[in-house]
Order: sequence, then C-alpha cells, then structure tokens
Amino acid sequence: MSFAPFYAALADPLADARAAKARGQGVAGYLGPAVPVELLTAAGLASVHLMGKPGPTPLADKWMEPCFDPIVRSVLDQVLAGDLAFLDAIVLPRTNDSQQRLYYYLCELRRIGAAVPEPILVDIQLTGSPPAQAYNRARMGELAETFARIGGPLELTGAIRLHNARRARLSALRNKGLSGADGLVTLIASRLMSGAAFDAALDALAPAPAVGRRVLVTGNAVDRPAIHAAVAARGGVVVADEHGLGDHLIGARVAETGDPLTALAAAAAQTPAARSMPYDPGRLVACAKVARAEVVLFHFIKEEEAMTWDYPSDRAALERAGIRVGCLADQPYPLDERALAAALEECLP
Amino acid sequence: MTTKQTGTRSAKVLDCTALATRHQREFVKNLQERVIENGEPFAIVQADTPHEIFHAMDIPIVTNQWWASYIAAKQLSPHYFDVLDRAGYPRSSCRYCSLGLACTLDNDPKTAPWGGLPRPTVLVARLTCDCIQRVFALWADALGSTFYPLEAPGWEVKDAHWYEHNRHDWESVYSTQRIDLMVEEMKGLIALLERETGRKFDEAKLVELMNAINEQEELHAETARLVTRTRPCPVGIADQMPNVMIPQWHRGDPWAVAHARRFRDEVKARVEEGASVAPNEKLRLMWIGAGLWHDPGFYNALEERYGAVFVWSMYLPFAGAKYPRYGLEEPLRALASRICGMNEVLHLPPWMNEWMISEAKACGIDAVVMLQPETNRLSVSGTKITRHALEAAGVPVFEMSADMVDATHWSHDKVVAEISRFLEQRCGAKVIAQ
Repeated sequence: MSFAPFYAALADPLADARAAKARGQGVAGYLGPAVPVELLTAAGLASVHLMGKPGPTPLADKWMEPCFDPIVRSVLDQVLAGDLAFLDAIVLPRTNDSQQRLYYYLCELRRIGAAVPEPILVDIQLTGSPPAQAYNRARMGELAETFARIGGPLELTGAIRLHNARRARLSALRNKGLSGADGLVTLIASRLMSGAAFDAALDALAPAPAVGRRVLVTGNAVDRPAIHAAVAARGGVVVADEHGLGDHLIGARVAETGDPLTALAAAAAQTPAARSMPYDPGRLVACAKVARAEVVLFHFIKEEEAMTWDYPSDRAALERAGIRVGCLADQPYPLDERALAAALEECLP
Repeated sequence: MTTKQTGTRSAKVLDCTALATRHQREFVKNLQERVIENGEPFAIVQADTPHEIFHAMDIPIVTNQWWASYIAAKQLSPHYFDVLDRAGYPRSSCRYCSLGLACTLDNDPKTAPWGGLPRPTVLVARLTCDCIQRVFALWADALGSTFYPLEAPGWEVKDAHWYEHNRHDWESVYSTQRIDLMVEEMKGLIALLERETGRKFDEAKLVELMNAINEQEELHAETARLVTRTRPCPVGIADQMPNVMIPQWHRGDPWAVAHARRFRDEVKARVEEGASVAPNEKLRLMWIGAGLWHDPGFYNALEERYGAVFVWSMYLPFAGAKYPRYGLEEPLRALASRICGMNEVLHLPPWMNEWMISEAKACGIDAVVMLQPETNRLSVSGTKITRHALEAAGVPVFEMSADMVDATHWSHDKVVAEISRFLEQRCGAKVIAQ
C-alpha cells in the first residue's frame, strides 16, 4: 500500500491539471467542496481544487484587503503571477464569503485588462426555503450550459455515478481506518489528481485500523498535515477532518434518479459551508460520535468571521457529551506550530 | 462600569440637524411606548432589508446599524466587546453587526441605552456576509424571537454605471432572477408579519409609500448636488449624516419627506448666502466608508489648519443614486430591486469603484480618506480596487485602518497627524491656521 501518489499530488497540485491541458483537454480550477465537480466531469473538463501557497502574496496584496481567507489570497496571487493562466475557468462558490468575493475581484481584474481565466460563480443559496431551492435549480441549469460551452455536451448521469462511486470508496476507506496525515492527503488528492490516476492509486490502498487517541479536526480548511503529524507525535490519530479540505470533499451522495440538476443543486446546498444555516449545535457532536473521537480540535484562521460564532455552543455541546476540546484560534497561514503544541498540550496531554 | 471617552464632538451648522435628532429621540420614546406599554409589535432589521414592508404595515423597526452607531456614540462599544469576549466569542468577530447582540447578551438595563431593546416580533437580515446569519440567529434566540433571513444571491450581470440606469431600468440592472427570489422572500415575510401581528399588508399603501420615497430621495439627490458640487462646501458631513440617515430610517413617512425638503431648503439658502463649512476651503475631501461613529468630530479636524473639508460621504449621495424607483406597476419587484443590490454596490467591484470615480469627478474631490475596518470583510471589500481606480483617475487616497464602532485602538490625534502628512505630501496642503 502506498500513499506516495497522493503526497506527490499535494507537493505539485497542478501537475495533473497541466498534463490534461497539454493533452488538449479543457481545465477548470475551483475552490471549495460545494462546487459540483460532476458538472465539470460531465462537460469533459478536467478539474483541480486550487491550493494555497504559504508565503508572501505581494501581487494579491495590491488588490485584496487584509481580512480575506489566506488561501483565497494565495490563489489570487497565483492568478496574477500567471501560474493559473492555463486554466479555462476558475469556479467559485457563493457559499463562502472570501471565495465569492474573489469571483467579483477576478471579474473586475478581467474588465480592466488583466490576464485572468474566466471566473464562474456557483450561485447557491443556503436558507433552504422553497424559493431558494427553485433559484438553486435554475442556476445549476445555467452552470451546466456554461460548462458545456467551455467543455462540451454534458454526459451527466455517468459523471454523477462516477463521483458517487469515488465517494463511496473514500467513505469506506475512512471507516476502515484511513486516518492521520495519510487520510487528509488522500482526501485532498482526490481533488487534485486526474480521476483515473486517483482511482488506480486508491485500488492499491488497504489502510490499517487507526491506533491512538482519536481526534477530530474542524474549523477552517487544513491544507497540509502539520496538525496530524503533531497529534501522531503525542500518540493520537486524526480520524476525521470536518472542514473544507477534509471529509467535506467527499460530499453527500448525489441522487442518481430524478432530475440530475435538482440533485446537484440539493447536494451543493447541503455541503457544509461557512455560511451554512440554520446552525445545528448537535451536528459536530454527531460527527464526533460517528468518528468515535475522544478529542475535537478547532482550527480558526484569524480572518474567520462565521464559525467562531458557533464555537462557544459547539464547545459546550461537545463537553456535555464528554469530548475534550482544544482550540487553535486566530491562526496565521500556515498555522503557528507553537500554538498548535500548546493547544494539544491542553486537549491531548 | 466606566466608559472610555475617545471621541470628539462634531461641528453642526444646520437648524434641521437638531430637528432630525429630536425626531429620532421622539421616535425612540414613542417606540418604547408602543412596544412596551402598548405591547405593539416591532422588528430589528439590517439597513439593507425592505423597511418599506414594515412601514406599509405600520410596524416600527430598529435598524441594527443605527442601533450600533448609537451604542458606539455613547462610548459603550469597549464594554460590549468585553461582553462578547466573556461569552467566548473570538476577538476577530465582526464588530459592526454584533454590538446590538452584545447589548442584549449583557442584559444590564442600567448600562444599555434605553434600558436595552425589548423582544421584537422578528429580526430580518440579508445574508451579505458569512457572519450575519450567526449574529442574528443568536440575537433572535437571546430575545426569544424569530430570525427571517433574506438571501443575497450572486450578481453576474454587471452594469458598472448602475447609478445612471437603475431608476427606470432596475429590472435589467439587478437581474430578473435576483428580483424574483427577493419578491418570493418578501411575500413570505409579509405572511409571517400578518400571522404574528394580525396586521394586513395593503399593496396600494406600498405604492403610496414608494411614491413618497421617490419624492424624499429626489429631494436628497438635489441636496446632495448642492452640498457636493458647490464651492466652498456649504454643509459638512456632521450635518449631512443625520439629515439623510434619520429620514432614511423612516423613509416615505410624511415627516421624512418634509424633513428632506427642510434639509434641501436650508442647504439651498446657505448656498445662496455663500455660507460654508470653511470659508478658506482649499481641499475637498471624500470619505469612503461607514461613519466613524465613535469620533464624529474627526471630520472637522482638518478644516481650520488646512482648509480641508470633507464634502462627500456616501450617505447623502447614495439616497438619490440608489433609492428612487419608477415603474411601480409591480411595487414588490421595484422594492426588491432597491434592496437586492444595496450592499453590493457599495462594497464590490465594479459597482463601488465606478460610482466613487464618477462622484469624485463630479464633486471636484482633491483627496480621499478611505476607512479600512480590518475586522470587517464586508465593509472593507472593494476598497483596494477602488483605491487603484481613484489613484488612476488622479485622486490620491489615504487608507485609514480603523473600525466604525470599535474605539479600542483609536487615537484621534495620531490619525489626524497621519492624514495631515498625507495631505501635505500628496496634495501640497499648506497650514493656513494653527
């Protein structure tokens, strides 16, 4: 069993996307688990989740204000540096504030003449009201037309089945013990590698059961396994990553019967997001119980402005359920390893 | 409890300013009487929600932004931020929209303005950022009330010159699909209000109100032209804000229309007399951002020394640019078009930057001071793009890192000194009086 292809993908996140482009295939980059990758696949487009690069972002800083998600800032910096010029489109969801604002910034930069791939918005609403559901269905139809224009005629049923199968395999592996750094990297690689290469690499995996005190990581997206390594060094194991670059990437199964666009709109609206509503204080406890986590570690970037409002209630609910809680608040990008050690000292002594 | 005094008083010259603030005091007194003594329903709403529905149903509203600014003006924001800290909410939480929640959570009638707000029938917010649904849901829980969210969908059709077209062509400027969604949501809100209050919504009343609002906002538009195009500027920001914002909270009400006329007349008289904020006006400044509620005197700080006058703040020009709506055959659609871009045009490109450039040119602006509230993504969005656009148009911009309501790190003297250096270096400002 080897996780090497997944670590290689994380080390060079655009490699497969560039290769697809070199073969003449259209390629879309995107941010966030709410983007319906099924539609991209159905249109014959290769897709890649865009990743942040820690470090200075001088090009983005010129246009983007300080309080944006640093991964979003890094993506803008990569766009302005020309690193993403090979993409045919950048797809961004309405369900995350920093990401949806990037859509407007990219549109404006294009308008004033910057070389920017076509920005596309996945305009999904989250109140769940009947008008919002009707709105989401209509927008999903328009999105399908847009992707068909960039890629080609849609083969939607097959694409939904393909991604559902991948979801089922990832979920099964999670249940069998896929965990720790390997777990996180596998989940991220599922959105970086070409589908065929990822599925082939997944075939070779037979994860061993997770050993150690079981930890669930939640909050803002964690895009590299520093937390997982630190937890392992203390004899623990991260068994669940309840965030935008972890288990949320598996996503809910998309219905294979009925109108596929309605099913995709529903799945996108159900994907946990910073602005998900209504807030359910029992959700995180339920996730921790499913994962049999003994400890929950929150990770908040200093720019976070939504999930931090849930934190007091989440913490109280977890503690009532007998689960220890640690919190890494106001984190820079990448996170502060001394703060990580201190947080783990508290919750994973 | 002690409060830290950080602000300075503003200089006001118009008689109608005192009338506006007196009306607001009376409104609040009346609100307390209606809600507490008579048990009438009221609502807590965000500024960018359809107030017109409540007005048409004669349901009083308290606007969150106004309430926050009122709390800040009482120098109470540091106290309430401590309340949020003690409740476990991280410091990075949005300040502007959470002061009212903190006041409720504190549950201390001795400290709270007016003893705190009573239980509203409903709280309404448009989901323009990631945190507002959290803040309003928590607030509704704390008050034992209901939160009714309005979606803020994406906006893919971009008419950069919206301010020239949206009075009549609102359907195309704001997109049919976005208007459709908000109309359905407003119908749901109306049904909730009818159910909870027993009051009936009358579309004819809404049309009447929309016509009155058009009259009010056109008066404000005329006043804005008089204030921002006349040299020297006849009326500063300290007078502009209450005279447009207080009527805006009561828009379409006979008092609000009459006050808009009174404001216009008084400004017009000053223009005709040649009266000005600073007779020695040398530099015309534009303020971009929400009001600096904890230090209203800031806007007057550079007048004597440099003859630098803040002639422009969004509140007055925005009334004429965004509110009037013609073609009221389907009044809910017209109303939805007013509301569904309210925040976006002020904080996102291309709407924000193109409007600011247009206004800066029309008003003969020499320099811009731009508020950068670093803990509030919604408020700070679009400012750097706007800065580039303004600088490219030849207008120097000073980025001022400060919060609208949080005075914790505010130093009046330090900021005034920094802006002074900027004006001297970038605009050639000369000291004309110490």
